[in-house]
Amino acid sequence: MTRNTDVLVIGAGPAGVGAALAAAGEGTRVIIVDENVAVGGHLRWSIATQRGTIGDLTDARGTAIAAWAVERLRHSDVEIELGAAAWGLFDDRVVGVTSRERSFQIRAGSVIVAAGATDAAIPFPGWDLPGVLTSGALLRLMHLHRVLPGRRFVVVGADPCGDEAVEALELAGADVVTRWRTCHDIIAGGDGEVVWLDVPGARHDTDCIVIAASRIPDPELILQMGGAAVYSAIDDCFVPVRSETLETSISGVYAAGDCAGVLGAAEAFAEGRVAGLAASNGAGLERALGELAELRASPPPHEARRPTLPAPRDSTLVCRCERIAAAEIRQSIADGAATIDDVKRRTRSGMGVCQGIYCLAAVSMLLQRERGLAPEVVSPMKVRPPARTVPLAALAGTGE
Amino acid sequence: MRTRWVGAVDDSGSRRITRHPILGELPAADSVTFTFDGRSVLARADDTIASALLAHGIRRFRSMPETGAPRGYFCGAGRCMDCAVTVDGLLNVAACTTPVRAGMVVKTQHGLGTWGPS
Repeated sequence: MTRNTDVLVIGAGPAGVGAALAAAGEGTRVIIVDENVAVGGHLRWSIATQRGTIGDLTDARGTAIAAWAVERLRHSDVEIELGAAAWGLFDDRVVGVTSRERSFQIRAGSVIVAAGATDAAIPFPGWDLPGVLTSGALLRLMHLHRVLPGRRFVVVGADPCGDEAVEALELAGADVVTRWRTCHDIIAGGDGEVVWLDVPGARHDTDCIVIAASRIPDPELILQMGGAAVYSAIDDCFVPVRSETLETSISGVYAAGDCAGVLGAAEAFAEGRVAGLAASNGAGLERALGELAELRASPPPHEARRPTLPAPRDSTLVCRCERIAAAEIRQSIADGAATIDDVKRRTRSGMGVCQGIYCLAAVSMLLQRERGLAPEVVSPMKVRPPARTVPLAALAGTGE
Repeated sequence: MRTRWVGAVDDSGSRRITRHPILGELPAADSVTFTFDGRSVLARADDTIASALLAHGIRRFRSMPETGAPRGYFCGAGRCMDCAVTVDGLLNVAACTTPVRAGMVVKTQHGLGTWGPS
Protein backbone atom coordinates (compact mmCIF):
# COMPACT_ATOMS: atom_id res chain seq x y z
CA MET A 1 0.00 0.00 0.00
CA THR A 2 1.38 3.42 -0.93
CA ARG A 3 0.05 6.62 0.56
CA ASN A 4 0.73 10.06 -0.87
CA THR A 5 1.31 13.33 0.91
CA ASP A 6 2.86 16.74 0.33
CA VAL A 7 5.19 16.59 3.32
CA LEU A 8 6.31 13.57 5.32
CA VAL A 9 8.00 14.26 8.65
CA ILE A 10 10.02 11.40 10.16
CA GLY A 11 10.24 11.74 13.94
CA ALA A 12 7.91 13.53 16.35
CA GLY A 13 10.47 15.10 18.66
CA PRO A 14 10.90 18.88 18.90
CA ALA A 15 12.27 19.24 15.34
CA GLY A 16 9.60 17.04 13.78
CA VAL A 17 6.80 18.77 15.65
CA GLY A 18 8.14 22.18 14.60
CA ALA A 19 8.32 21.01 10.98
CA ALA A 20 4.86 19.41 10.93
CA LEU A 21 3.10 22.38 12.55
CA ALA A 22 4.85 24.87 10.25
CA ALA A 23 4.06 22.93 7.07
CA ALA A 24 0.46 22.21 8.08
CA GLY A 25 0.03 25.91 8.85
CA GLU A 26 0.66 26.57 5.15
CA GLY A 27 -2.25 24.31 4.20
CA THR A 28 -0.12 21.44 2.90
CA ARG A 29 -0.96 17.81 3.60
CA VAL A 30 1.42 16.55 6.31
CA ILE A 31 1.98 13.07 7.72
CA ILE A 32 4.25 12.65 10.74
CA VAL A 33 5.53 9.19 11.71
CA ASP A 34 7.31 8.16 14.91
CA GLU A 35 8.39 4.76 16.17
CA ASN A 36 7.39 5.62 19.75
CA VAL A 37 3.88 5.32 21.17
CA ALA A 38 3.54 9.07 21.79
CA VAL A 39 4.63 12.46 20.46
CA GLY A 40 7.55 14.34 22.05
CA GLY A 41 10.72 12.39 21.32
CA HIS A 42 13.28 12.32 24.11
CA LEU A 43 11.52 15.25 25.81
CA ARG A 44 8.86 12.78 27.00
CA TRP A 45 11.27 11.38 29.55
CA SER A 46 13.31 14.50 30.30
CA ILE A 47 12.38 16.47 33.41
CA ALA A 48 15.35 18.81 32.85
CA THR A 49 14.64 22.42 31.95
CA GLN A 50 15.05 23.07 28.22
CA ARG A 51 16.47 26.53 27.62
CA GLY A 52 14.67 28.82 25.21
CA THR A 53 11.18 29.22 23.81
CA ILE A 54 9.06 26.63 22.04
CA GLY A 55 5.59 27.84 21.07
CA ASP A 56 3.95 29.22 24.24
CA LEU A 57 6.59 27.78 26.56
CA THR A 58 9.86 29.30 27.78
CA ASP A 59 12.48 27.41 29.81
CA ALA A 60 10.03 24.55 30.35
CA ARG A 61 10.73 20.97 31.34
CA GLY A 62 10.92 18.40 28.55
CA THR A 63 7.81 16.61 29.81
CA ALA A 64 5.82 19.89 29.65
CA ILE A 65 6.98 20.59 26.08
CA ALA A 66 6.01 17.05 25.05
CA ALA A 67 2.53 17.53 26.52
CA TRP A 68 2.21 20.87 24.68
CA ALA A 69 3.23 19.21 21.41
CA VAL A 70 0.58 16.53 21.81
CA GLU A 71 -2.13 19.20 22.21
CA ARG A 72 -0.89 21.35 19.33
CA LEU A 73 -0.76 18.42 16.94
CA ARG A 74 -4.21 17.25 18.05
CA HIS A 75 -5.65 20.62 17.02
CA SER A 76 -3.85 20.65 13.68
CA ASP A 77 -4.55 18.89 10.39
CA VAL A 78 -1.37 16.83 10.69
CA GLU A 79 -1.93 13.10 10.23
CA ILE A 80 -0.08 11.28 13.00
CA GLU A 81 1.24 7.71 12.73
CA LEU A 82 2.68 6.46 16.02
CA GLY A 83 4.40 3.15 16.64
CA ALA A 84 5.50 3.39 13.01
CA ALA A 85 9.21 3.24 12.19
CA ALA A 86 10.57 4.68 8.94
CA TRP A 87 13.22 2.16 7.91
CA GLY A 88 14.17 3.15 4.40
CA LEU A 89 14.30 6.18 2.12
CA PHE A 90 14.16 5.37 -1.59
CA ASP A 91 14.10 7.13 -4.98
CA ASP A 92 11.40 9.73 -5.60
CA ARG A 93 11.00 10.28 -1.86
CA VAL A 94 9.28 7.00 -1.16
CA VAL A 95 9.69 5.99 2.48
CA GLY A 96 9.21 2.49 3.88
CA VAL A 97 7.33 2.46 7.17
CA THR A 98 6.58 -0.48 9.42
CA SER A 99 4.55 -0.83 12.57
CA ARG A 100 4.11 -3.93 14.70
CA GLU A 101 1.42 -5.33 12.42
CA ARG A 102 1.77 -3.79 9.01
CA SER A 103 4.08 -2.26 6.48
CA PHE A 104 3.38 0.52 3.99
CA GLN A 105 5.07 3.14 1.83
CA ILE A 106 4.57 6.87 1.81
CA ARG A 107 5.41 8.90 -1.31
CA ALA A 108 5.97 12.54 -0.38
CA GLY A 109 6.62 15.79 -2.23
CA SER A 110 9.14 16.59 0.50
CA VAL A 111 10.61 14.47 3.26
CA ILE A 112 11.81 16.05 6.48
CA VAL A 113 14.06 13.70 8.42
CA ALA A 114 13.89 14.59 12.11
CA ALA A 115 15.02 11.22 13.41
CA GLY A 116 16.79 12.65 16.45
CA ALA A 117 19.72 11.09 18.22
CA THR A 118 20.61 7.80 19.88
CA ASP A 119 21.99 7.45 23.40
CA ALA A 120 25.60 6.46 22.92
CA ALA A 121 27.54 4.05 25.11
CA ILE A 122 31.09 3.52 26.33
CA PRO A 123 32.48 0.00 26.10
CA PHE A 124 34.20 -1.42 29.18
CA PRO A 125 34.56 -5.00 30.47
CA GLY A 126 31.16 -6.11 31.76
CA TRP A 127 29.07 -3.51 29.93
CA ASP A 128 27.01 -6.32 28.42
CA LEU A 129 25.80 -7.59 31.83
CA PRO A 130 22.14 -7.12 32.76
CA GLY A 131 22.01 -4.10 35.07
CA VAL A 132 24.20 -1.92 32.84
CA LEU A 133 22.18 0.56 30.77
CA THR A 134 22.38 3.90 28.96
CA SER A 135 21.30 7.09 30.69
CA GLY A 136 18.48 7.49 28.17
CA ALA A 137 17.23 3.99 29.00
CA LEU A 138 17.27 4.91 32.70
CA LEU A 139 15.31 8.13 32.18
CA ARG A 140 12.66 6.36 30.07
CA LEU A 141 12.15 3.77 32.79
CA MET A 142 12.06 6.25 35.65
CA HIS A 143 9.96 8.98 34.10
CA LEU A 144 7.65 7.11 31.72
CA HIS A 145 7.13 3.98 33.80
CA ARG A 146 8.21 5.12 37.26
CA VAL A 147 10.49 2.13 37.71
CA LEU A 148 13.88 2.20 39.46
CA PRO A 149 15.97 -0.57 37.86
CA GLY A 150 18.25 -1.04 40.88
CA ARG A 151 19.01 -0.08 44.46
CA ARG A 152 22.68 0.96 44.39
CA PHE A 153 23.51 3.02 41.32
CA VAL A 154 26.81 4.02 39.73
CA VAL A 155 26.89 6.63 36.97
CA VAL A 156 29.92 6.42 34.66
CA GLY A 157 31.09 8.80 31.93
CA ALA A 158 32.17 12.42 31.68
CA ASP A 159 29.24 13.60 29.62
CA PRO A 160 26.86 16.27 30.97
CA CYS A 161 23.99 13.80 30.62
CA GLY A 162 25.59 12.02 33.57
CA ASP A 163 24.65 15.01 35.72
CA GLU A 164 21.08 14.69 34.49
CA ALA A 165 21.06 10.99 35.42
CA VAL A 166 22.47 11.65 38.91
CA GLU A 167 19.94 14.43 39.49
CA ALA A 168 17.07 12.22 38.29
CA LEU A 169 18.16 9.37 40.59
CA GLU A 170 18.54 11.65 43.59
CA LEU A 171 15.14 13.28 42.97
CA ALA A 172 13.61 9.80 43.03
CA GLY A 173 15.33 9.05 46.33
CA ALA A 174 17.72 6.47 44.84
CA ASP A 175 21.13 5.70 46.27
CA VAL A 176 23.93 6.87 43.96
CA VAL A 177 27.01 5.04 45.24
CA THR A 178 29.50 6.89 43.06
CA ARG A 179 29.94 8.98 39.94
CA TRP A 180 32.95 7.83 37.93
CA ARG A 181 34.03 10.09 35.07
CA THR A 182 36.84 8.19 33.38
CA CYS A 183 35.93 4.85 31.82
CA HIS A 184 39.21 3.42 30.51
CA ASP A 185 40.09 1.89 33.87
CA ILE A 186 36.82 0.36 35.08
CA ILE A 187 35.60 -3.25 35.07
CA ALA A 188 32.10 -4.44 35.91
CA GLY A 189 31.41 -7.97 36.99
CA GLY A 190 28.91 -10.39 38.47
CA ASP A 191 27.50 -13.82 37.78
CA GLY A 192 24.80 -13.22 35.17
CA GLU A 193 23.96 -9.73 36.45
CA VAL A 194 26.11 -6.79 37.47
CA VAL A 195 27.15 -6.99 41.13
CA TRP A 196 30.27 -4.88 41.36
CA LEU A 197 32.28 -2.19 39.61
CA ASP A 198 36.02 -2.00 40.06
CA VAL A 199 37.63 1.42 39.75
CA PRO A 200 41.32 2.02 40.50
CA GLY A 201 41.86 1.26 44.18
CA ALA A 202 38.25 0.43 45.04
CA ARG A 203 35.39 -1.99 44.45
CA HIS A 204 31.84 -0.66 44.57
CA ASP A 205 28.88 -2.93 45.25
CA THR A 206 26.26 -1.94 42.70
CA ASP A 207 23.30 -3.49 40.94
CA CYS A 208 22.89 -0.82 38.27
CA ILE A 209 25.51 1.01 36.21
CA VAL A 210 24.32 3.95 34.14
CA ILE A 211 26.47 4.86 31.11
CA ALA A 212 26.39 8.61 30.44
CA ALA A 213 27.76 9.03 26.94
CA SER A 214 25.72 11.78 25.32
CA ARG A 215 23.53 11.46 22.26
CA ILE A 216 24.78 10.74 18.75
CA PRO A 217 22.95 12.10 15.66
CA ASP A 218 20.96 9.49 13.73
CA PRO A 219 21.17 10.53 10.05
CA GLU A 220 21.00 6.94 8.78
CA LEU A 221 18.07 7.43 6.39
CA ILE A 222 19.92 10.22 4.58
CA LEU A 223 23.24 8.36 4.46
CA GLN A 224 21.45 5.28 3.04
CA MET A 225 20.41 7.34 0.03
CA GLY A 226 23.96 8.56 -0.47
CA GLY A 227 23.31 12.02 0.96
CA ALA A 228 26.52 14.04 1.31
CA ALA A 229 27.94 13.99 4.85
CA VAL A 230 30.57 15.98 6.69
CA TYR A 231 32.47 15.30 9.92
CA SER A 232 31.14 17.28 12.89
CA ALA A 233 33.77 17.77 15.58
CA ILE A 234 31.15 18.72 18.17
CA ASP A 235 29.27 15.46 17.67
CA ASP A 236 32.37 13.41 16.75
CA CYS A 237 30.52 11.76 13.89
CA PHE A 238 29.40 12.38 10.30
CA VAL A 239 26.25 14.45 9.74
CA PRO A 240 24.36 15.41 6.55
CA VAL A 241 25.49 18.44 4.56
CA ARG A 242 22.60 20.94 4.40
CA SER A 243 21.67 24.14 2.60
CA GLU A 244 20.63 27.30 4.45
CA THR A 245 17.03 25.99 4.42
CA LEU A 246 18.23 22.60 5.74
CA GLU A 247 17.78 20.68 2.49
CA THR A 248 20.26 17.82 2.14
CA SER A 249 22.13 16.96 -1.07
CA ILE A 250 19.08 14.82 -1.98
CA SER A 251 16.51 17.06 -3.66
CA GLY A 252 13.38 17.54 -1.54
CA VAL A 253 14.86 15.78 1.49
CA TYR A 254 15.52 17.94 4.55
CA ALA A 255 17.29 17.16 7.83
CA ALA A 256 16.23 19.00 10.98
CA GLY A 257 17.16 18.77 14.64
CA ASP A 258 19.44 16.30 16.41
CA CYS A 259 19.80 13.93 13.44
CA ALA A 260 22.04 16.55 11.81
CA GLY A 261 23.93 17.50 14.99
CA VAL A 262 22.70 17.44 18.60
CA LEU A 263 21.00 20.69 19.67
CA GLY A 264 18.92 22.14 22.46
CA ALA A 265 15.18 21.54 22.11
CA ALA A 266 14.40 25.17 21.18
CA GLU A 267 16.96 25.16 18.39
CA ALA A 268 15.72 21.79 17.13
CA PHE A 269 12.16 23.17 17.05
CA ALA A 270 13.39 26.25 15.15
CA GLU A 271 15.22 24.03 12.63
CA GLY A 272 12.01 22.06 12.18
CA ARG A 273 10.10 25.26 11.45
CA VAL A 274 12.65 26.29 8.81
CA ALA A 275 12.49 22.90 7.09
CA GLY A 276 8.69 22.78 7.33
CA LEU A 277 8.30 26.24 5.81
CA ALA A 278 10.91 25.57 3.11
CA ALA A 279 9.19 22.30 2.18
CA SER A 280 5.79 24.03 1.92
CA ASN A 281 6.98 27.29 0.32
CA GLY A 282 5.79 29.10 3.44
CA ALA A 283 5.72 32.87 3.59
CA GLY A 284 7.27 32.92 7.05
CA LEU A 285 10.52 31.27 5.96
CA GLU A 286 12.66 34.43 6.13
CA ARG A 287 11.48 35.15 9.66
CA ALA A 288 12.04 31.53 10.77
CA LEU A 289 15.57 31.67 9.35
CA GLY A 290 16.21 34.85 11.35
CA GLU A 291 14.96 33.22 14.55
CA LEU A 292 17.17 30.18 13.95
CA ALA A 293 20.23 32.38 13.30
CA GLU A 294 19.58 34.19 16.59
CA LEU A 295 19.42 30.91 18.53
CA ARG A 296 22.59 29.64 16.86
CA ALA A 297 24.44 32.81 17.89
CA SER A 298 23.88 32.18 21.61
CA PRO A 299 26.40 29.89 23.28
CA PRO A 300 25.46 26.29 24.14
CA PRO A 301 24.58 25.61 27.80
CA HIS A 302 27.47 23.22 28.45
CA GLU A 303 30.82 22.22 26.97
CA ALA A 304 29.92 21.69 23.36
CA ARG A 305 32.17 18.87 22.33
CA ARG A 306 31.32 15.26 23.05
CA PRO A 307 33.88 13.77 25.47
CA THR A 308 36.48 11.59 23.77
CA LEU A 309 35.90 7.87 24.06
CA PRO A 310 38.57 6.02 26.07
CA ALA A 311 40.59 3.32 24.29
CA PRO A 312 39.00 -0.04 25.19
CA ARG A 313 41.28 -2.64 26.77
CA ASP A 314 41.85 -5.81 24.72
CA SER A 315 39.32 -7.92 26.64
CA THR A 316 36.47 -5.39 26.26
CA LEU A 317 33.62 -6.46 23.99
CA VAL A 318 33.44 -3.65 21.46
CA CYS A 319 30.64 -5.21 19.41
CA ARG A 320 27.91 -6.40 21.76
CA CYS A 321 25.83 -8.14 19.08
CA GLU A 322 28.54 -10.34 17.58
CA ARG A 323 30.67 -10.40 20.76
CA ILE A 324 33.86 -9.03 19.20
CA ALA A 325 36.59 -8.00 21.64
CA ALA A 326 38.86 -4.98 21.14
CA ALA A 327 41.85 -7.34 20.70
CA GLU A 328 40.21 -8.86 17.62
CA ILE A 329 39.56 -5.43 16.14
CA ARG A 330 43.14 -4.33 16.84
CA GLN A 331 44.34 -7.53 15.15
CA SER A 332 42.19 -6.87 12.06
CA ILE A 333 43.71 -3.39 11.82
CA ALA A 334 47.21 -4.83 12.18
CA ASP A 335 46.30 -7.29 9.42
CA GLY A 336 45.46 -4.43 7.06
CA ALA A 337 41.94 -3.18 7.79
CA ALA A 338 42.03 0.55 7.05
CA THR A 339 38.35 1.53 7.21
CA ILE A 340 35.30 0.77 9.35
CA ASP A 341 33.91 -1.33 6.48
CA ASP A 342 37.20 -3.31 6.33
CA VAL A 343 36.97 -4.04 10.06
CA LYS A 344 33.36 -5.06 9.62
CA ARG A 345 34.15 -7.48 6.79
CA ARG A 346 37.02 -9.06 8.73
CA THR A 347 35.48 -9.28 12.20
CA ARG A 348 31.67 -8.88 11.82
CA SER A 349 31.80 -5.86 14.17
CA GLY A 350 28.93 -3.64 13.06
CA MET A 351 27.14 -6.47 11.28
CA GLY A 352 24.85 -7.36 14.17
CA VAL A 353 21.28 -6.52 14.95
CA CYS A 354 22.03 -3.06 16.44
CA GLN A 355 23.46 -2.17 13.03
CA GLY A 356 26.61 -0.70 14.48
CA ILE A 357 25.09 1.95 16.75
CA TYR A 358 26.97 0.73 19.81
CA CYS A 359 30.33 -0.25 18.30
CA LEU A 360 31.11 2.18 15.47
CA ALA A 361 32.45 4.99 17.65
CA ALA A 362 34.86 2.58 19.34
CA VAL A 363 35.90 0.99 16.04
CA SER A 364 36.53 4.45 14.58
CA MET A 365 38.56 5.40 17.63
CA LEU A 366 40.65 2.22 17.40
CA LEU A 367 41.35 2.94 13.71
CA GLN A 368 42.40 6.48 14.62
CA ARG A 369 44.74 5.23 17.38
CA GLU A 370 46.26 2.27 15.57
CA ARG A 371 46.71 4.02 12.22
CA GLY A 372 47.32 7.58 13.42
CA LEU A 373 44.31 8.91 11.52
CA ALA A 374 42.32 12.06 12.19
CA PRO A 375 38.66 11.33 13.01
CA GLU A 376 37.40 13.14 9.91
CA VAL A 377 39.23 10.79 7.55
CA VAL A 378 37.67 7.64 9.04
CA SER A 379 34.63 7.35 6.78
CA PRO A 380 31.35 6.22 8.33
CA MET A 381 30.21 2.65 7.78
CA LYS A 382 28.24 2.12 4.60
CA VAL A 383 24.59 1.89 5.64
CA ARG A 384 21.75 0.19 3.82
CA PRO A 385 18.06 -0.28 4.53
CA PRO A 386 16.50 -1.23 6.87
CA ALA A 387 17.41 1.46 9.38
CA ARG A 388 15.32 -0.35 11.97
CA THR A 389 14.76 -4.04 12.67
CA VAL A 390 11.77 -5.03 10.55
CA PRO A 391 9.97 -8.38 10.73
CA LEU A 392 10.17 -10.12 7.34
CA ALA A 393 6.44 -10.86 7.63
CA ALA A 394 5.74 -7.11 7.70
CA LEU A 395 7.83 -6.58 4.55
CA ALA A 396 6.18 -9.53 2.80
CA GLY A 397 2.83 -7.99 3.59
CA THR A 398 1.59 -11.10 5.40
CA GLY A 399 1.06 -9.00 8.51
CA GLU A 400 -1.65 -6.93 6.84
CA MET B 1 -9.49 -3.67 37.88
CA ARG B 2 -8.24 -0.21 38.87
CA THR B 3 -5.28 -0.37 41.21
CA ARG B 4 -3.70 2.46 43.12
CA TRP B 5 0.01 1.93 42.87
CA VAL B 6 0.95 3.47 46.17
CA GLY B 7 3.74 1.70 47.96
CA ALA B 8 4.56 -1.90 47.28
CA VAL B 9 1.14 -3.16 46.31
CA ASP B 10 2.21 -5.80 43.81
CA ASP B 11 4.90 -7.57 45.81
CA SER B 12 7.45 -6.76 48.46
CA GLY B 13 10.06 -6.14 45.77
CA SER B 14 8.18 -3.42 43.87
CA ARG B 15 10.52 -0.85 42.44
CA ARG B 16 7.94 1.78 41.49
CA ILE B 17 8.63 5.41 42.25
CA THR B 18 5.32 6.18 43.95
CA ARG B 19 6.02 9.80 44.85
CA HIS B 20 8.18 12.09 42.76
CA PRO B 21 9.01 15.74 43.64
CA ILE B 22 8.42 16.87 40.04
CA LEU B 23 6.18 14.24 38.46
CA GLY B 24 3.98 13.93 41.56
CA GLU B 25 2.10 10.86 42.77
CA LEU B 26 2.16 7.80 40.57
CA PRO B 27 -1.21 7.97 38.83
CA ALA B 28 -3.67 5.11 39.20
CA ALA B 29 -3.64 2.69 36.30
CA ASP B 30 -5.47 -0.41 35.19
CA SER B 31 -3.71 -3.67 36.03
CA VAL B 32 -2.67 -6.19 33.43
CA THR B 33 -1.43 -9.70 34.12
CA PHE B 34 0.82 -11.68 31.78
CA THR B 35 3.21 -14.56 32.21
CA PHE B 36 6.99 -14.58 31.96
CA ASP B 37 8.49 -18.08 31.70
CA GLY B 38 5.34 -19.37 33.35
CA ARG B 39 5.42 -16.91 36.25
CA SER B 40 2.47 -14.52 36.59
CA VAL B 41 3.50 -10.85 36.41
CA LEU B 42 1.29 -7.97 37.51
CA ALA B 43 1.83 -4.86 35.37
CA ARG B 44 0.39 -1.40 34.85
CA ALA B 45 -1.53 -0.99 31.60
CA ASP B 46 0.97 1.67 30.47
CA ASP B 47 3.96 -0.61 31.03
CA THR B 48 6.24 -2.07 28.41
CA ILE B 49 7.19 -5.72 28.90
CA ALA B 50 10.61 -4.57 30.13
CA SER B 51 9.34 -1.96 32.57
CA ALA B 52 6.91 -4.48 34.10
CA LEU B 53 9.64 -7.11 34.51
CA LEU B 54 12.16 -4.62 35.89
CA ALA B 55 9.58 -3.39 38.41
CA HIS B 56 9.66 -6.94 39.78
CA GLY B 57 13.45 -7.09 39.72
CA ILE B 58 13.54 -9.45 36.71
CA ARG B 59 16.50 -8.40 34.55
CA ARG B 60 17.61 -11.35 32.42
CA PHE B 61 15.69 -11.28 29.14
CA ARG B 62 17.77 -13.13 26.58
CA SER B 63 20.81 -15.39 26.52
CA MET B 64 23.56 -15.20 23.97
CA PRO B 65 24.28 -18.05 21.55
CA GLU B 66 27.38 -20.14 22.34
CA THR B 67 28.15 -18.54 25.72
CA GLY B 68 24.62 -18.53 27.14
CA ALA B 69 25.47 -15.25 28.86
CA PRO B 70 22.33 -13.33 29.80
CA ARG B 71 21.45 -9.90 28.43
CA GLY B 72 18.99 -7.40 29.81
CA TYR B 73 17.56 -3.92 29.35
CA PHE B 74 20.30 -1.79 27.81
CA CYS B 75 19.23 0.90 25.31
CA GLY B 76 15.53 1.15 26.14
CA ALA B 77 14.88 2.28 22.58
CA GLY B 78 14.38 -0.94 20.61
CA ARG B 79 17.78 -0.63 18.98
CA CYS B 80 20.24 -3.00 20.69
CA MET B 81 17.81 -5.98 20.84
CA ASP B 82 19.51 -7.27 24.02
CA CYS B 83 16.03 -7.49 25.54
CA ALA B 84 14.55 -9.62 22.74
CA VAL B 85 11.91 -12.01 24.10
CA THR B 86 9.39 -14.42 22.60
CA VAL B 87 5.79 -13.20 22.82
CA ASP B 88 2.94 -15.65 22.07
CA GLY B 89 5.40 -17.65 19.98
CA LEU B 90 6.71 -14.67 18.00
CA LEU B 91 10.50 -14.36 18.24
CA ASN B 92 12.65 -11.24 18.63
CA VAL B 93 10.15 -8.89 20.23
CA ALA B 94 11.90 -5.91 21.85
CA ALA B 95 10.67 -6.03 25.46
CA CYS B 96 11.68 -2.38 25.99
CA THR B 97 9.32 -0.91 23.40
CA THR B 98 6.46 -3.42 23.35
CA PRO B 99 3.43 -2.54 25.47
CA VAL B 100 2.05 -5.20 27.82
CA ARG B 101 -1.20 -6.94 26.94
CA ALA B 102 -3.37 -9.01 29.27
CA GLY B 103 -2.68 -12.72 28.97
CA MET B 104 0.39 -12.43 26.77
CA VAL B 105 2.81 -15.34 27.11
CA VAL B 106 6.37 -13.98 27.32
CA LYS B 107 9.42 -16.22 27.34
CA THR B 108 13.15 -15.71 27.57
CA GLN B 109 14.89 -16.39 24.32
CA HIS B 110 18.18 -18.03 23.43
CA GLY B 111 20.03 -16.10 20.75
CA LEU B 112 17.93 -14.37 18.12
CA GLY B 113 16.02 -17.43 16.96
CA THR B 114 16.60 -19.91 14.20
CA TRP B 115 15.52 -20.30 10.59
CA GLY B 116 12.62 -22.53 9.72
CA PRO B 117 9.64 -23.72 11.73
CA SER B 118 10.22 -23.81 15.47
